Order: sequence, then C-alpha cells, then structure tokens
Amino acid sequence: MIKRYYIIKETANNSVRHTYWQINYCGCNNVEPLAEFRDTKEALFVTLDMPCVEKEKIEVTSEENCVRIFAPTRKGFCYNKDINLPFSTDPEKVSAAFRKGVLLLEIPKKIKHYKIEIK
Amino acid sequence: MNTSEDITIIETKKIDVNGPIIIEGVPDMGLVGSIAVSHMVLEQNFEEVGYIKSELFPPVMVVHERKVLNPVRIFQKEKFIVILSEIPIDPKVGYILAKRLTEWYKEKGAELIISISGTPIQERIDIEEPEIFGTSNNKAILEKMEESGVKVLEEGFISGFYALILKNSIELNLNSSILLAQCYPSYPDPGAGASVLKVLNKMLNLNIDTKQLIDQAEELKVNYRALMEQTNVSMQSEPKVEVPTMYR
Repeated sequence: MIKRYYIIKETANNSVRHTYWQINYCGCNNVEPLAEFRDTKEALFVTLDMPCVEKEKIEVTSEENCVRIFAPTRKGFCYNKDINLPFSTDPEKVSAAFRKGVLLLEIPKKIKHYKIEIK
Repeated sequence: MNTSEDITIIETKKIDVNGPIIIEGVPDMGLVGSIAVSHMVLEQNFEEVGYIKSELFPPVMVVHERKVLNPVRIFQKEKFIVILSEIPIDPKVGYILAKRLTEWYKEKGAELIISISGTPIQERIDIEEPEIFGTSNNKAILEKMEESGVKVLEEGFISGFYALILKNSIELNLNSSILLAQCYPSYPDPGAGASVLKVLNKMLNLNIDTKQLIDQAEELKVNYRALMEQTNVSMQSEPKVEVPTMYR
C-alpha cells in the first residue's frame, strides 16, 4: 500500500489547492466504497468495503482534518472517498490495513491537554 | 390501505404444491437473505412461477441476461417456494407485504416458512465461518435447527420485515422460523450467505453447492453494492436487529 502525505499549496488568491491529489486523481468512474465508522475517545476506526482491489494499488493520504482513499479495481472503476474529520489527527499516526477486501483505518485523535493555572 | 388491493401476488404458472416450504430472501443486514436465496435459485435451477406487484414498491424493474423482470419474484422447485426481492422493502410497505404474504402462505397450506437474514457483528472480519442463530414459533423446528448446527435464540429481539412475518404466522397458525447469520452490518456478505445455505442443506436435506459463493465473493460484493447502499438507507428508518444476547 502506498502511503504518502498530502501536499497543500496556497495559491495567490489564498485558496487552498490539493496539488498531490489532483496529480493522482483517476479519470475513470469513481465509486464511494461502503463504509462503517466506530468512534471512540482516542480514535476513529473506519472500515471500507473495497472488493476487487489489490492492496498494492490502494492510496491512503492523510492530513490533519481529512483522510483520502483512492483505489483502482479490476472491474474498471475506482473507489474514492474523502473522510472529513470533525477533529484533528496526527497524519503520521494514521494507520491502515487491508484484509479480505476490507480497508481498516485507525485515525487517532490529537488530544491536547492543558493544565489550567488556578489564580 | 387495503392489503389485497395494494399488494398483488401474480402466479404466472400454477403453484399447486402440497404443504410447501417457503424460503424468503429480502434485502436487509449484509444482504444475507438476498444473496443466499439468489444463489439457491440459480444453483438449483428453480423455475420462476410468479411475482409480486404493488404501487407501493419503488418504480424499479430488473434486467438479468437481457430479460426485464419484476424485482420481487416467486420461484419454485418441487415442494420449495422461494420469495426473492431485489429491492429493499420500506418499513411501512413491510407491514402490508408481510400480511399479504402470510395470508397467501396460509392459502397454499405452507408447512414451514424460513426467513433468511443476518445479525451484525463488529468482528466479522476475524470470523472464517459465520455462526447461524435462529428462532421459530414451533418447538419441533427449533429442535431440528439445533440438530443442524443453529444456535437457538434464548433472549433477544427480532425486528423489521421478518419480525412481521413471524408475528402474522403466529396469528395464522403457520410454522415460521428465522435464520440469522453473523454478518457485516453494512456490506454485502456472501460468506454469511454460504453459511446459512450450509445449514439449510442440513435442515431440509438439500444439496446446494456453496463453493461458488465463496470463490466469487469479491465479484458478488461489487454486484450487490448498489442494492446494499439502498438497503442501508432503508434500514436507517427502522429499528435495528439486536445482536442475540443468549443462545444455547
């Protein structure tokens, strides 16, 4: 599985462009894989049903508030899904595994703890 | 709404069987019923003998091998009658359809009704051979289920379309049973379909080959994806089936 980090470029008019993703985006029919979510205090666990896919061809890219999945299938279409996170994650700590045609993602939550000074 | 007017069962060929065994496959959890029953029909060369029409169904027709077909069809082989739906049954329509179907089963003198479904399990990916749970309103059938490897529900809930079939069957004094295979909650699960067919083989002395279901699981999952997506939307508007809490 290819795991690369997302490159975000700021353009002249301050709009954010997702350069890397545009380069790798496939022009064929894209289908959203069926997904299941399990939310815990520490992490979001996502499973995506992606039959007819080879593990080596799956691309998972991660940034602080979004995880993107892209995979071509043997059937002539591609799976494509953006998971927008309602929390921040550490992109380097996102982990993925592919078993029995199901992609399993663990997206840890970046939890910041501050000690509040009592005056 | 009047049941007989809203749902019509059309017999394109005369169904005249003494004490038929009815097997139902309607899309719900993991599409276990749809996948299992569809495979059974193909593998055992069942004959299409009718269909169910209703203005309450979504405006859908199905195309298989260039043939335009009704989405809810009836098949028969010997004493087995199969109901196969290729559209999710909306919970409101489910009430009327379950009533009409059970009345029809009564007219046909059904010996046994077997509804096939799934029970979701989070660790499904770690399970090689999904277990089958079951319940029935008949004690002898419960014993037969246990002999066939089914874990009989001691406590728990059954909800949705099949719960209505069971409820109406009790009222009409029909023998009804439900088989639930451990499955993915929101993904098509051919493996669960294969497990439930193995149990049916034992229960009904059938000889359905399930190898193809396992070998072609990935292709089947792709084919059933759209139906699963529609079914997931439909199921969100009805109470979920609880995971059995106790079993023998």
